[in-house]
Amino acid sequence: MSSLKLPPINTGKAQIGGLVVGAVALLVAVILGFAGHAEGFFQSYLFTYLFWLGISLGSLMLLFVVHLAGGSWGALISRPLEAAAGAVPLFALLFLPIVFGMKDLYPWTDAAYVASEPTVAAKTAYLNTVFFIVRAVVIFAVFTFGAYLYRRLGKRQDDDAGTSARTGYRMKNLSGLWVVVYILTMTFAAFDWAMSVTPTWFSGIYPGIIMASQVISALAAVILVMVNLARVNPTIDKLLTPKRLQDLGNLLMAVTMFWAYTQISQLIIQWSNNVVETATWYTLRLGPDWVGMSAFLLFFGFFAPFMILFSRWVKRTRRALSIVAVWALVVQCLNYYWFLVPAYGRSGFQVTVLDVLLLVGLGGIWVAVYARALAARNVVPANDPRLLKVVEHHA
Amino acid sequence: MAVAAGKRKAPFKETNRVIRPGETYGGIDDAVLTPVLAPLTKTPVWWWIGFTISAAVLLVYLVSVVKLITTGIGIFGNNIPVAWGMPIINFVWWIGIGHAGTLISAALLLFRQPWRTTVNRFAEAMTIFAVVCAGLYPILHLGRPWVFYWLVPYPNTFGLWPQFRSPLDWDFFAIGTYFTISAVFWFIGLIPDLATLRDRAKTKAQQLLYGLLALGWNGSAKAWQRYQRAYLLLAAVSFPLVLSVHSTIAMDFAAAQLPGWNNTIMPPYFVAGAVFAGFAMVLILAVPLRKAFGLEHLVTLRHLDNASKLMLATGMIVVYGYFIEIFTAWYSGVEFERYMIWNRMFGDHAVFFWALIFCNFVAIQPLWFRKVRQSPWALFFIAIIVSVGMWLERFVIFVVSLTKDFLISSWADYVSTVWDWSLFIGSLGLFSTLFFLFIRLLPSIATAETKETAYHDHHHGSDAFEHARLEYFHAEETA
Repeated sequence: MSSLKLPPINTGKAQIGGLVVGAVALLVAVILGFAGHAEGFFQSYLFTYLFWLGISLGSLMLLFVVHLAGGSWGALISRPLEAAAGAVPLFALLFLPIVFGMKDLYPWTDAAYVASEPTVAAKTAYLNTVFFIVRAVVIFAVFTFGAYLYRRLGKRQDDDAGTSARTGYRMKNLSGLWVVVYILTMTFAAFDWAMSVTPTWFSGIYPGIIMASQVISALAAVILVMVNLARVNPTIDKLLTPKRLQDLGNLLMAVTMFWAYTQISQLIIQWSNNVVETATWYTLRLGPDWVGMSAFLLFFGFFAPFMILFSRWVKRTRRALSIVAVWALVVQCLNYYWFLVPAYGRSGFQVTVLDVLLLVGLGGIWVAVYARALAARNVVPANDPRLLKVVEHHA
Repeated sequence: MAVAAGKRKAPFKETNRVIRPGETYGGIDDAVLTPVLAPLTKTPVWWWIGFTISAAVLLVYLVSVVKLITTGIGIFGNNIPVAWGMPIINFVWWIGIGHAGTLISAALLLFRQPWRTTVNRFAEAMTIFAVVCAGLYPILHLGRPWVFYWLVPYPNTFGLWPQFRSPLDWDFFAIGTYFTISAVFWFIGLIPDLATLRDRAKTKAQQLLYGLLALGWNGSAKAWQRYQRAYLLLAAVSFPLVLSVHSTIAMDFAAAQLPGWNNTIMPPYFVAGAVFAGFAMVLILAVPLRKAFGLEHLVTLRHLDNASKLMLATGMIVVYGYFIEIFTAWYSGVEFERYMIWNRMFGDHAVFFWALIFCNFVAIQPLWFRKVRQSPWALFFIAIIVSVGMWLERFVIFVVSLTKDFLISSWADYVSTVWDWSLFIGSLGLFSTLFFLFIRLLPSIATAETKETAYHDHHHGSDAFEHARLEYFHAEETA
């Protein structure tokens, strides 16, 4: 069997466009932020940053899952997933503003606040600036290593047809361990970066919600990328059959259900517990300022895509599934907003200029890095027997 | 590897096939249906021994139930504060076991996993019998079991309605739905096989029995088409049950304020624990069953391998649950939460906690290795350890948390009674009696579906990915 070498994908426009738009938006945001008040800057930065980073980390997790359990649809999306995970090192650098903005983001950095809250004072051994930074370094080191390892193994798989199956099995076997590593690392990341925004609050399932959210974003992003690649490349057009698209759609539906399931479990339990440490998180979000957004997320974030994804036609039609995927990304971005922003005392849902600039700015940079990584390699595994079989069958 | 010896050449190759190559339709029918249609006198001795022991243990159950109804629930060790003792542990233990059956039959069907075909039938039977054992517990422990139907919300002259906000009432719906859907799914799946039994029947009585149950199945294309549609629809209905039933049960605990119960991780962690325990039970049943009926060519090492992979995966989620419980308790900064976890790990009942860590965490680690996953009897023993571990887990969560809650003045210890144990051991007898009757009277492998797999093997061979996998194993062997 010959290898499936495709002509390189030209992503020049996306690279330059993303970089220019991203850099300009970030620059304007920095100027505006510091001219006005830095606090608002960091708060917008945190949720937009976690959203874009989430796509990369979700891609990494999805990659492991694909290696463990994916059929031919999994092989098809594995290179784009590796490329998306490639943005992790850059985002490790982009974590620096969060370190600089810790005072504005995390109340537990304030000694007076800690003194007034006994349950927060009880955990300063964990929630302190130095340990927080050490953990962030370790978390990014782990994820960068994972992203690098799979990208390298993927390249080896494409370069050497003879050992491709072996490398594939190595990746599969390693994935079992990496799932464990990802879940543990991401658990601490979720406690640190998102949960500790409300230092008195705790919820065991919260890291699970964040992980589900990351996988949804990654899946939505990869669906969009595959559909667009299929437009410019006839081989991918042939490989992206309605059945494989449907498999991706089914998975999107399943993860969306899981995401809603974890959220509703957290709500029911904390609502019926009705204790001050945990229920206050919801009294804020179900209070007059935020109840509208909460209801919006429930109906349009979960029920609408859930109902739409029941349709076989939607899952098998590129255009229709792309629209659902775009919507899924919007919902996940709003979800980060809903998780984090209410804690900073914004009265109800409102979009600030900084929100938009930082979302576009970080997004532009992310897209540029992703596009570059995608163009650097073969966009489908060159030696995967399952894909080769299909192509040869058609030829 | 004792089971494999002498029957197969290379165990490695064998595991990569769902069934032995070259199976014929008639061969499958012969292997599965002959023991079912054999006359009473030809019933194997091992079946009589197993059935007699099971029935004897079932008697223990019946005696305990009579004692319970005539005396009242005071015969249990439950007290205040441990108002929920062994009955709820056993209830949750049983209902959890059922989940693997539903996962195999519904989820794996929807995910188009071919290896489910030869294990789904007895796994579904296991589900139904486990739900029966589970469902009897809440009813028996109501105190007045004869009025259990008060849980049903129906218009009545008392003007009495169940408390809809109580998870205990959700339990009623969860178990009711679960039992109904599982039983219907199982029965629908059985129909083509019942028709085959009818056609192969050797006596009038068999013909009548299986003929009645086969509901006039004629094997026409129309019948098959409707059957397939109904089967897929039921699978889609059952799939959410894997998540919802045990989540509801987790809410029984999590909805309370008690430290140790109120963690938001409980629903998914309970679901994972249920599937974990369920796969352990599937292995406990499959390993002796394939040996006793000589079905190793249909329930191959690949099935055991896959089931143990799922057991490892769900087991690791459960372990993650333990980790989250410990870490959140500390991270909460709330002294009651922290004391709960300290008490669990180092208090009076610490030995149960560490035993459970051994059973559910340490004992499953060998499953990372393929050699272990393909040694039937090693799996059998690991599965038994896991079953014990999952029982201990519920003991630690329910009882140990209750013994020491917020107020020191309300702390008290828990001691189980002989009736707690007799009812539990008796329920094992109920389960195994039903299971022995099942394997004698009905086909324990879905022959119609297995024939589909055989057809696929004949016409397509194993797929390209399988070849790559074989090459890889070969390369590794020679290296």
